[in-house]
Amino acid sequence: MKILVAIKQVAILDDEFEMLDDGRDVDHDFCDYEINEWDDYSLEEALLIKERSNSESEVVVLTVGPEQSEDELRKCLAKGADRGIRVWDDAIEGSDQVAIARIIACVVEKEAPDMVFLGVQASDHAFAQTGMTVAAMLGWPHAAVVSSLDYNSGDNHATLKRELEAGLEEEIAIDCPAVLSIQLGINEPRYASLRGIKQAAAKPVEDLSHTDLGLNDNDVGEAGSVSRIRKMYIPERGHAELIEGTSAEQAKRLAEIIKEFRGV
Amino acid sequence: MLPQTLDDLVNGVVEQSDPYGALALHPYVDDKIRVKLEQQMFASRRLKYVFASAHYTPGSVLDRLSVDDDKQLRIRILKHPNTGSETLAGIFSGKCTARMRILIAGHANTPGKILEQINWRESDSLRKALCGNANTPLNVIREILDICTVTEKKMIAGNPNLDKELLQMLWNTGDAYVKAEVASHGAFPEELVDRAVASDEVIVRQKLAENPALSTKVLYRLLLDKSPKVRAAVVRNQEISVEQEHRLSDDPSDYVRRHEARREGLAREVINKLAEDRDAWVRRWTAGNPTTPEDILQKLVEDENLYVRRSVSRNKSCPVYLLKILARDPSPWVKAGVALRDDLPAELLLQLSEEEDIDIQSAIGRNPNTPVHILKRLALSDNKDIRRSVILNTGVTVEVLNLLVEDPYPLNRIILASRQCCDRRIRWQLANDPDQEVRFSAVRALAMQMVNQTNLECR
Amino acid sequence: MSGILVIAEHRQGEIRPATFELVTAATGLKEQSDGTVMVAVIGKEPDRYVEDLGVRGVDEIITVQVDQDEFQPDIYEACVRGLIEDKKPSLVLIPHSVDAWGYAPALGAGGEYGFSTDVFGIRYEDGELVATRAAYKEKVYMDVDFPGKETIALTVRGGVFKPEEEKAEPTVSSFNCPEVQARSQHKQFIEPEDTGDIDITQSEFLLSIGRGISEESNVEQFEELADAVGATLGCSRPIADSGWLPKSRQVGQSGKTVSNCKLYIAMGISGSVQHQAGMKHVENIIAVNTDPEASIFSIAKYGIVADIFDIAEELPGHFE
Repeated sequence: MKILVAIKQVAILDDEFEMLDDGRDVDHDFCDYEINEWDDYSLEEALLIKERSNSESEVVVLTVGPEQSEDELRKCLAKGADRGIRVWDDAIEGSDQVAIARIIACVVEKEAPDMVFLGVQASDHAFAQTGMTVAAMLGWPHAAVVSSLDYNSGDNHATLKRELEAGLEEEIAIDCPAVLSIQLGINEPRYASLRGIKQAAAKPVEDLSHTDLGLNDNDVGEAGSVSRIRKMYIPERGHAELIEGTSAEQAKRLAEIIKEFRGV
Repeated sequence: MLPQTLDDLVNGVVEQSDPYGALALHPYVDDKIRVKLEQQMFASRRLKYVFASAHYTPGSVLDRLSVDDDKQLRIRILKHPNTGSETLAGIFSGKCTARMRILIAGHANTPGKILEQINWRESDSLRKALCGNANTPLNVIREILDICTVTEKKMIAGNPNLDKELLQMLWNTGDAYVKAEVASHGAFPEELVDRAVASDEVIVRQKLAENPALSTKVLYRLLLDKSPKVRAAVVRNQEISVEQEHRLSDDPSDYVRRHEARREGLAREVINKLAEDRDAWVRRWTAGNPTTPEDILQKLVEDENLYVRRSVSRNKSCPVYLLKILARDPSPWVKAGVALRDDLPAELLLQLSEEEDIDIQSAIGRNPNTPVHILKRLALSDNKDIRRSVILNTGVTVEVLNLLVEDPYPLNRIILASRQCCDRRIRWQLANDPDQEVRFSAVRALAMQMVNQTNLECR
Repeated sequence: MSGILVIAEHRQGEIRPATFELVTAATGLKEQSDGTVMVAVIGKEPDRYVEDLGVRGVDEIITVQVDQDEFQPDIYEACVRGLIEDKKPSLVLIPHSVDAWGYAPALGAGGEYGFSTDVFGIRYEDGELVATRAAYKEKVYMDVDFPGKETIALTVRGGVFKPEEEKAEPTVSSFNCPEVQARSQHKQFIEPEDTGDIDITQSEFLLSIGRGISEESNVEQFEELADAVGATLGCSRPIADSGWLPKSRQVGQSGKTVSNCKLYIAMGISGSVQHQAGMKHVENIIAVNTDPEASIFSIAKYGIVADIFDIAEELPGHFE
């Protein structure tokens, strides 16, 4: 049994930052990087299935990103994933979610896993798009925003819950293999043990380019995209609206906001 | 190799070429070594930005970073609470943008003599920043006061350094909220007291009643106030007579009685009445009040409200025989309150250590009297909160901490590195941790430990 | 290519309000998109929704009859694709909702349509559609365009456009769902549990305290405050670590994520990364802290720079 987990290294933007000269992205010197929060949960879900499994099973982590994103793959390997795949080359630069999904779909076809997990969305650009796009390209069954999953290795069906709006959930049955986008809170992600971190350094990470996957230049980058970022800019409204005045006055305003919220 | 001295530690950190270790070490070494460390720390523009905003970056590093003629970097430094007055003065004397001047004017460490040099007429935002800074010299405030907005007056009114003259000016020109703030000020002019007592605005009378410098006579007048907010403010403020206490325990406002129940040293009959109050919050405050007599606590141990019983369990004056009763309480939260006590007899502690509830287990983990064999068990718990409770235990031994050096939760290791009972060997192991904040925390703790050692040798 | 196609959303027999927000958005673009506004509704008995969907601005309601009323991604994808091929709209608007996340991205996957998500601004510039959305936790906005695409599908953020309420009587037509095999089956809806116990993950309104409260004896005052304002009391890690409040009240990485919270008041919480992990998604965060540079302010909607004890003394008086 094999589960493929696609992850993303996301940028956390500082409060003070500048834009790049071309105005199409922020200057990444003002960013910190970490693994997308949702991906911790999808990896954990895959690891739990692997640990429950009686048969030989493997968790493969995949990312599409430049060299530094290997750090996040290593962190996943430290938690128990078996091997990593990183796809990147200059032509991939400028890809939108659809072009990224095309790359992921190619890797899925190559790896032929029993399940594919992705996070519901990435915390930096928050498109909530990639996972289901991958499913559509593969023609696989899919479900988004999975908050609970009943699936064991070898199963042809899974039962799962989707987290809908306002606390409502929907239970569905789905054919497998399937592509699922995993919601926060589905499990409690583990932390890597120090031993795991040491072992991760020795685990294999395969570096691939788009041509290795049989894709041509028109499939990736701007040519392979269905949208383009024209420009990025800082919106006019600032951060928190400050409630001013003496504490008595601030408390009065706070009380008004609370009452408005509670509708009393 | 385990470092023995500060020099060893410096060599070790330089050898690792770890920027986070260097960051931790920076304040403890001389200039020559600092230069060496800086090469490690300031390797990229991105890392400089990271350090300029990281909350743990020491002032000495921020000072070195401020030398760089980079606007974004300096803005981060000016927003950082660890930035020292000399660094601020240095940036001020260089090329400054309007934004930077505003940040300097608002920084808590900017000295008065710099604030005095800032031209407050430059912009409204700059003036506002000065109004909110407690270091702004009074002569500057006096100048500003004529033209500033009501919001700024409110900011000024909160400044503890104001003199009577300024307070008078604020009282004369401000709205009710400004007046209220002035009325609560320690230097509130006596000649204004009567006017404040007679004010139509509840907030003015209430803030006056909160003023710690008020005479008993004035407080008594305020006790008759028709607003419960004012009466409650008096109750939490000052000495009042036993007779007043009696009257207040019958006050129709729950709010006032809750405040009374917080007061220490109330008369017995008053406490008795409060302990039977219909409002659970009044009983909770009474149950937690360290001056509530034993026999009344004994009654409260039976209270139907579990939070009242919990308050008894946390009351410093709660005697052991009542703790024994509470240790068998149906509510785990009450038992956890008992388990947290450092005056707990050994038998009760052992009894509670058998409980599975996470709050009770964590309380046992934190309790300095918990025997080593129990701490060892808790240190190996699956639950990271329980393991952290052991790390936070002030009586824990190195032997137990050793079990936690490889705790998978990084925050637990960060805290472990800074625990006092942690030894050099554990810290050095953590100084080589994969997590950067753990390394920082460990190297800083080692540096502090070694600097103290050097000082001892010098003496 | 002309006209705007809005895909209605319904659940448990009710049209979801986001649908009417999209009608407003579509009406505003009608002139530039050079055509009609169509609203398609997909369901088992789609006619039952027709009356509700009859609002001002809608030119045509298209009913699509399928085997089940509950959302199913394969069915929705097939129907919407079919509708696009048949009606050839220049713009397709879909609510940015959990159900849309389940099928809308498939529309972008084929490469023939322009596609973007979570859009809150739509305009035409020199005849080209430009969509605005946010990135980096709302710190920047981005304008997105779709070079060479004649049909563009967008999912639109909720609460941005005012829902159209005025009734009207558009024409009604029907459309046949293309052949499709559903590969997942709806079993049931599960309503959120009301256990009666204090559960900070279920609470919509939390008041949370942090290190700023300094002593155990101060906790009670904030419990009383939370009670007075009708909030559930939560806390940051140091408070739970000290045993001052139960672990079940702890918000953050080592505690709980307050997933249903709509209003979060953080008092004396500086906003460590660990704490933010449990609450940064909340839409309305109000931070009270003495330090104006505390990182909690960077994610708050409202900021109050003040002593939390002053606010705590004052606030209950407004709730008697």
